[in-house]
Amino acid sequence: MARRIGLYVGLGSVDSDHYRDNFGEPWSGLLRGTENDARAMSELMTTLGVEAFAPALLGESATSSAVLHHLAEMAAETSPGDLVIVTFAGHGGQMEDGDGDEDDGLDETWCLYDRQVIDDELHDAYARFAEGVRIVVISDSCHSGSVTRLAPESGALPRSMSDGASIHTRNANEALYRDVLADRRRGEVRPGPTVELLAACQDDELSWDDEPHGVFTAALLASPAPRDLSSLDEWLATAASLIKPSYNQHPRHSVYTVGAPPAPG
Amino acid sequence: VTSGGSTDTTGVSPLQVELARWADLVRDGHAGTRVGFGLQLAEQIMRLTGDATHGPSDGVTESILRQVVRDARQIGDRNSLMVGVGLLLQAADVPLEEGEALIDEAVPGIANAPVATGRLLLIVAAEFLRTEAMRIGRSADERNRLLGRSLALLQPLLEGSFEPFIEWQHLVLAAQVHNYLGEPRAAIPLLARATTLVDRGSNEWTKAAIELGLTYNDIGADREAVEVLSQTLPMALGNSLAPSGSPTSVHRGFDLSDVASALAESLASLRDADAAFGVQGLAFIDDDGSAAFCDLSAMCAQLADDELGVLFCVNNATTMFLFDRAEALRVRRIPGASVQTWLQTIDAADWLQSSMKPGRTGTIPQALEVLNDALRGALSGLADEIDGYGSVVVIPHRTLALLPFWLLDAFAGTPLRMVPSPRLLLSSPDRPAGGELLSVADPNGDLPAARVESEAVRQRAGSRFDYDGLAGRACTVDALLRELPTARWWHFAGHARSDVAFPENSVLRLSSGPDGDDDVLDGATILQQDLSRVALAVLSACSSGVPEMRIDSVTRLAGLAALLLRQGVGTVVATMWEVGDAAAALIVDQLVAELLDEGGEADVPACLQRATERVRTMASSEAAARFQQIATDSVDGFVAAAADRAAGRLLSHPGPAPFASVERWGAFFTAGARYVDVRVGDRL
Repeated sequence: MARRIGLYVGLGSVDSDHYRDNFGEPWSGLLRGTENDARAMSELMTTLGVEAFAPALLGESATSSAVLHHLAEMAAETSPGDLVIVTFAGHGGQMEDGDGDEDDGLDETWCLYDRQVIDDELHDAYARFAEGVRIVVISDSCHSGSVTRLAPESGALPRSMSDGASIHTRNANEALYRDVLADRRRGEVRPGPTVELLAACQDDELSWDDEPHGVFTAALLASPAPRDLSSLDEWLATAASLIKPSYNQHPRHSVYTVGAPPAPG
Repeated sequence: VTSGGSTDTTGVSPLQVELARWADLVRDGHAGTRVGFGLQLAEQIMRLTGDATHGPSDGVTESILRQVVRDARQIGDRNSLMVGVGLLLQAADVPLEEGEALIDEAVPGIANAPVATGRLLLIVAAEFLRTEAMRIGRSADERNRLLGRSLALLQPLLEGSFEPFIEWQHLVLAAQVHNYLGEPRAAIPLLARATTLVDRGSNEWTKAAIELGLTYNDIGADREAVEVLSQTLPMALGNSLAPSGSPTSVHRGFDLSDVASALAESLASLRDADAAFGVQGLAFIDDDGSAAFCDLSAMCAQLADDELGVLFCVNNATTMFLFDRAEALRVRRIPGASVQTWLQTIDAADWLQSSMKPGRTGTIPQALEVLNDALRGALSGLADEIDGYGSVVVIPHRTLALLPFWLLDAFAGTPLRMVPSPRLLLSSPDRPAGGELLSVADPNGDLPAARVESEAVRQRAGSRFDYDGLAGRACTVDALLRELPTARWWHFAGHARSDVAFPENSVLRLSSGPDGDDDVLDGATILQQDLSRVALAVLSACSSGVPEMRIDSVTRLAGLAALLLRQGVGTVVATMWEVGDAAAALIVDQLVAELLDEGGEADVPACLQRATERVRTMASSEAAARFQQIATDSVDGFVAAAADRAAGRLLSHPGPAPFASVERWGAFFTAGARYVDVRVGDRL
């Protein structure tokens, strides 16, 4: 019988020894709904028959090595026909692209506790899964470095690291990220798994944090999820319809097969 | 104040005692007793504070009145319900939907009510609906519906059973509603009747004459306005010529200078029709709220040979005054430019400025289309008048300050500068030689592109000026105020809020210093500064909010640009709506290049027009190359990285003209003097 396993990641803060804010000062990137999001998605997926591969990775436990290690173990334990759910709730970021594979010259990142994981690293992690495995990534995060306008709701925060913070963080950890970029696997062309991305917003939009859940995750939780998880379009469409227009946040759904662009976000 | 249900009266005011009694009554739950006492108490507080929602009463009155309405409803006391609703609508911020429901509930009871109660309810309800109708953002249909309802409520006062008890204020209100409905002719007999209701020797007449004169002026009945207002002229002019005090008192209070202004405008608009008045200039409501009389010859002398002045005077019969250096004043009544036209334009202008706010639908190009359509008739023929002139100066009036004249079809292709008032056209302070270029960038740390923009300005102009840059947390109010008095050019790239209705509320967001908190330089502080040394201020800022306001409350051009001009800045380049980072940086970069290229007296509107045109037609690759160049020439690693990012994003979506859309470039405008002496920036 096909296996269904899930990994749930949520960060209410990041390591301020590593990250920098707009002024280059230590930044802990506080968010309020993210860890709740991870717990709630874990519970939801359990009711849909998805087994938690590990306890939800929250806050300090959501390090780059923990996430990448679990993904590698999941790759080793899955086979064609299996379903893998990965959810992420936290800040997204951007970083100067080391290999020119991004058309805007910027890699997109997940801000994990100890450092940013770039999309190329995630791509490499997904590539370790077998052909025929279906990976569903639900990312309640955003990567737009554009200026944060007035929050549409009182207290709402965007789940993206600003351009200024991103530049300062990169500059403060130059050697580390140079090594990360250099360590990426190259020339991966073998057919890999199918990756479906449910993203909280469009590229140029912001996904909003709130309590007890992020806007996108709250909408997903309020929409009936398909029991067999075979088609996610209706779930996403219903969730999208529940997001208040004032958030200007329009979720998107994309599917690709590892080995072919575009890279995952 | 209270303890265990009893009242302690030691050391408290009588009002506090009454409030404590009210609290006891609410706790005891006797609805009938509460209704009578609550109405008395609310009226008592309102007499003291005049406002049930804000201020000293702190919402207490509103809560009392809401309780009264609930109680009256519960016990079937229709009379108290009517009084309670009337007072609530009069003094509290009641949302429209709730207000209409209250009116629907209470008004049917007036047939059997005492006259005083019925009159109060009708006049208050009519005023409430009129005020709601005039909120910016209402659709025309909704506005007309509310105005129609307002008029219907006034009918019993005008000709029904309440007619014997009519007062002049009711007639003025009805006349205003007719005018807003596009029926000015229907307003005139109402105003004429109102003049018969007041004894001309009484104190009441002064107040009535002002209201009547302003309303006559609004509907374009100039002769009647002059006749009525002239009876208050000596006192009004006497007051308006005195120092006008703080801007706050002028803007928020009732000020007799309005009378002089209205009278002066009426006189001025009669200029072509009745030479007997012998007007030698334009008397105008000034940007600081006081009346001013500007000598026409002096105004003409302020223009360059190739420049046309266009001064708008808005009332129902909108008038344009066209003048040039040769003093060839032409007065044009704008055909078809009724109040309705201006309402449409103000709606579109508000839409334009707020279309980038979260949750707003519609785009700036759409709003501009609406704006141009609405004004096509009103401004027809203007292009012929402009033909032959190389530049235009527009002096807007009242709500026209909200309009982006530089983007209107009627002015297409002609460099344009805005001047907030005739007085500011006339002012040209002497500026001492020398000075520095002060660039203030990204005080709040969230606009890396602002740092890039500042760097671009430094690279362009740093060799010409003594450059002084403030960035990030160094951009404190103290630092800015310390540096500004010696600055010749001032560049600001950050966040701002420009408040059109109350300029003293306009702010530039700065930093509080090491703790990184936000701080603001507010309009009131700007009004205390002598900025007469600053020849050019470039505010490349998000003008992130025009407050909600009623159309008939906006009487003066204000905002940051006007504020700076008033304090002596020569020319201001500013933005009307939130601008994208990359486009703003490129436009300012090109503007500085154009200004420096002129070499001597640089023509700012023309330079800005060329700069925006250059950016409009710039390909992604060109724009990216410029950012890369800035990065290469920068010694600041952060700025270089930010510039590289800007370049990368442009290259990600290559196109022939990524900034072609008007929302990318159209926000920038010039206000104030036309020329800036570039040579005086040379290092001494």
